[in-house]
Amino acid sequence: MFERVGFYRFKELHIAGDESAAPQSIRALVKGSVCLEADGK
Amino acid sequence: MRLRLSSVCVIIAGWLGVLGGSQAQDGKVLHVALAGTMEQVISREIGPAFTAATGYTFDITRQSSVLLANRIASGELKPDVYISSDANVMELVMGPVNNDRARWYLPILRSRTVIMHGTQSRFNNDIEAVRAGKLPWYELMQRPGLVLKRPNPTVDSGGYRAIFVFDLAERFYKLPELKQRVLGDDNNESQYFDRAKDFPLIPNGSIDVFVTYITNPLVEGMPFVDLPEEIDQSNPSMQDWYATASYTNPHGQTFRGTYAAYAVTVPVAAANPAAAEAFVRFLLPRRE
Repeated sequence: MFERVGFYRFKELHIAGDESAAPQSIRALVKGSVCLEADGK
Repeated sequence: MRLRLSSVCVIIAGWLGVLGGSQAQDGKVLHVALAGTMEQVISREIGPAFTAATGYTFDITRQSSVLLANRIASGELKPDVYISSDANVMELVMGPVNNDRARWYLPILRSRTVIMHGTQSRFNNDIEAVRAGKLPWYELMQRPGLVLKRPNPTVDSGGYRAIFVFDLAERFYKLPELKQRVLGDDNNESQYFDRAKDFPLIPNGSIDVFVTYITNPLVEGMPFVDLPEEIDQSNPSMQDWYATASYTNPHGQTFRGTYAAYAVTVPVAAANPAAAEAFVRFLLPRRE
């Protein structure tokens, strides 16, 4: 959906700021995030 | 078809892990504050899918990212989820000086800056020459009489990114004063793009070019010209180069060049933190 309007996914996600303040379920998803989508234009 | 849609919803609800069952019947509302360029994909595609899976409907506040951040920092606006068109704008809602309205954020999507145009411009031949690689894009920008628009940089990340386009270009191509020649003053209000008034003027050629995020032409079905990645602020590996550009708005808020990234957070004052958390997960890539 996002790609259709010009957005690109990151290969990996990283929480900025106080990572410990982010919800556990989001932290878990981010730690395991190596997106399948290409990280290019 | 209905059976297939139901199956999809069951799968999504399972992936969400929380929110379902009785909450889906409660008519609860998730308040999302978001950058304008994000609105269509959220309100037309992702939002309805999330509603189908959880029952939460959306109350969307659509505004420029810097304006939203300032409203959140002041305490006037208390969304469950805030999506900014620039990850760096998130800093405006973090830390004691900003009342600690958020403690973390997650850059989720990359973007880039392009030159949107219509098909009735007096400079159509030049625009096509740029597209064909026969004319440098910055020569088109300097054509006498060209009507250029850009977002308001004082409140819109797309606005200061348009300034960065010309700031980076004048140094990358060694064209002194390019930014001044094309944009005039950084805060040249005569070039600010008024969405309601100005969008119709692009197709009819009254506005020749609009420097903006790529999402705008794609959502509007309008043509655009790509910029080199040294200029379009799309490439994370060029972060140090982009960081050589900066803009300070009249409120004293400084924005440094970065690769373009949208980001999301759940502010501390979110009224529906569990639903907000589920929605953020919903925005992330599905893992099989």
